[in-house]
Amino acid sequence: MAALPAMETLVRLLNLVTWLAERGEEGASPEEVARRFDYPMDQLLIDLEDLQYVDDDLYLDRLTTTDLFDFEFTEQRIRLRHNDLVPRPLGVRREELAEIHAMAREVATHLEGEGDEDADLGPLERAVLKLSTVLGPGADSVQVDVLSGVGRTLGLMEEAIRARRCVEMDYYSYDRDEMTHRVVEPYRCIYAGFWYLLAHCRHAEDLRLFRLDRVLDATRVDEAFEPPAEVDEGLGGVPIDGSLPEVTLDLDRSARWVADQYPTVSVEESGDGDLRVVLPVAAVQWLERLLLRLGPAATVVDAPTGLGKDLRSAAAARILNRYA
Amino acid sequence: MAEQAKWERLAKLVAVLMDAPYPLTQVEVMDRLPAGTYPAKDSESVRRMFERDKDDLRATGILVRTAVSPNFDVDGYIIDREDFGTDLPAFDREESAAVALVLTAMGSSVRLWEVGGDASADPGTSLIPSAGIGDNEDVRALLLAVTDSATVRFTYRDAGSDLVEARVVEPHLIAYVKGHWHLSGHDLGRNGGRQFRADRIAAGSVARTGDRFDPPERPRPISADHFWRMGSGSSTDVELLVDARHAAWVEQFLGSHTVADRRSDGSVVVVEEVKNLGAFRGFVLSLLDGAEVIGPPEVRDAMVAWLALLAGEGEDV
Repeated sequence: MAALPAMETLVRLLNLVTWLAERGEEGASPEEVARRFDYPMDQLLIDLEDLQYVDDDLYLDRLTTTDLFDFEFTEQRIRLRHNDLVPRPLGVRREELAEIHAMAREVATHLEGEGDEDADLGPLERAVLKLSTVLGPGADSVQVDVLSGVGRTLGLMEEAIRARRCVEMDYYSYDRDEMTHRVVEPYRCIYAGFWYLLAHCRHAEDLRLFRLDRVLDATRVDEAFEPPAEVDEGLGGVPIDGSLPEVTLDLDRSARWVADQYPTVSVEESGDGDLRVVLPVAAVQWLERLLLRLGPAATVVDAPTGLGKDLRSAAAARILNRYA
Repeated sequence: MAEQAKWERLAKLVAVLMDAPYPLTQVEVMDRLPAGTYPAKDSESVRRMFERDKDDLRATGILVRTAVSPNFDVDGYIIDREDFGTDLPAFDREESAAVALVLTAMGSSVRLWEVGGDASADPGTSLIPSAGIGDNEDVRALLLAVTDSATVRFTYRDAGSDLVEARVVEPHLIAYVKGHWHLSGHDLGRNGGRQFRADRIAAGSVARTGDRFDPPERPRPISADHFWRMGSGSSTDVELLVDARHAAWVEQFLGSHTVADRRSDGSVVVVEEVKNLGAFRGFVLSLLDGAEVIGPPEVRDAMVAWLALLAGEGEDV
């Protein structure tokens, strides 16, 4: 292992001394310390010796009356007899720990029910318990919810990705407003408010992003695939380079959220909180939905033929037929 | 060798600043260090090196405080022992491996030994799906305030009105739901429970007021439910007929408890408790002609009126 940079050395040393102190008489072997703190073995003892003498010629009158540290190096064990400098490990900040605890609890909750309820606590549950103890009563005030609703599908995709096996699934295509049946080669699961699967779709013969909560009846099939060395995870964005048709809408105040939620070619304030936006249109059904939903809050100012008011009125008439 | 000398110099600096009875000036710090600790040829070089060292320490999470020296009218520096480090659990190898998977799932760059784990237990797989939980300094300040029961102030932009206002809040609960951090707490200005979305807080505006509060036994839960289910008004049970092609995912989206009838053609009738009819109309229209409001009559009539208004506008621009 290469030598550590100065700051990394300092942080690891200030972290490991409290751990060693807590080990007490048992101490630890140099190998164990090096492994646990990812420390270069050939540097560890040298640095610990240097740390022991770091207070030489320092003027200190409050921290200690003797030495800051007293290490004992015997029989292949390191023991820390004395530590007057480091009150607590220099690890992550408390707020980061609270965040990790929340995620660990979320994952542990998600895994609940897959095992025997009467079984002893698993490693993750033990870790959550230890984190709770360290954080105290405030620990439960931080929550993470990223797994609800997709647990089974996410687990199935994860397994298929690991095993490099295809997945057969029914998928509701929102853009095209239709249910489709596909076989995909799953590459990655990505979270962005919802879980998405990045996969090669054999039906489309191209990379596609699938929203996992729109995947139905997914089954792993015994068909192997070889994933590409690199996968472009930037897929799914709507290009704003002029390659798509564009519509110009005037939005009143209540519809300003459109500019936050969708890719825009341009946004102009037009007074009183109203906006004029130019939106790229990747799918006609997407624009239909948007215009129907916005109603009078959006006025079509400019649009290619077939993507303006007529589109909205035709869609409204089509739906109205159901109510006749 | 030069790198090693640097960490030793920084360790000595930590010791001196932690030992300090009051904020020490740069000159007082140098007096307490062994001669040659700052091997620079002139005072300006020493000053620059000292500034860099303080910055480096701060970057590692060591809080070097700056305050006016009691002896001289210049800045002094001190490390409060109470500010130093974090209490960490000690994970065994199995627990460390579990925590490593959690860190991967979060998309975190935190290393195992920084949370009390055993670095060698990291399975190192890159195939775990990562939620990539994003945060920023404001979220970090809120996370800490929630766990410390510390009142905060921040500038907030309301979702609907775009009104930007200063808020003073006792933060009770913070949750990462649907890709956003949400805060629930007692809004002192409005004297009531409120929920805030962190990305609507003006960047860098979160600050503590200095007050503490007793956290409630049962904090107001974070609601990141469907928008039409939220609000303080009365609710209406809306019956929606959903065609077979949408039925499965709508059931998954709204929950099986909403399904009131399963028809032989594969369609379903769901009953949604709706507080915001305008928002629910948006959802229904997202299904285009694959769904129909069948009751109650006034909601169905309102939908028909909305569609008739839009159907009548005609003529393309």
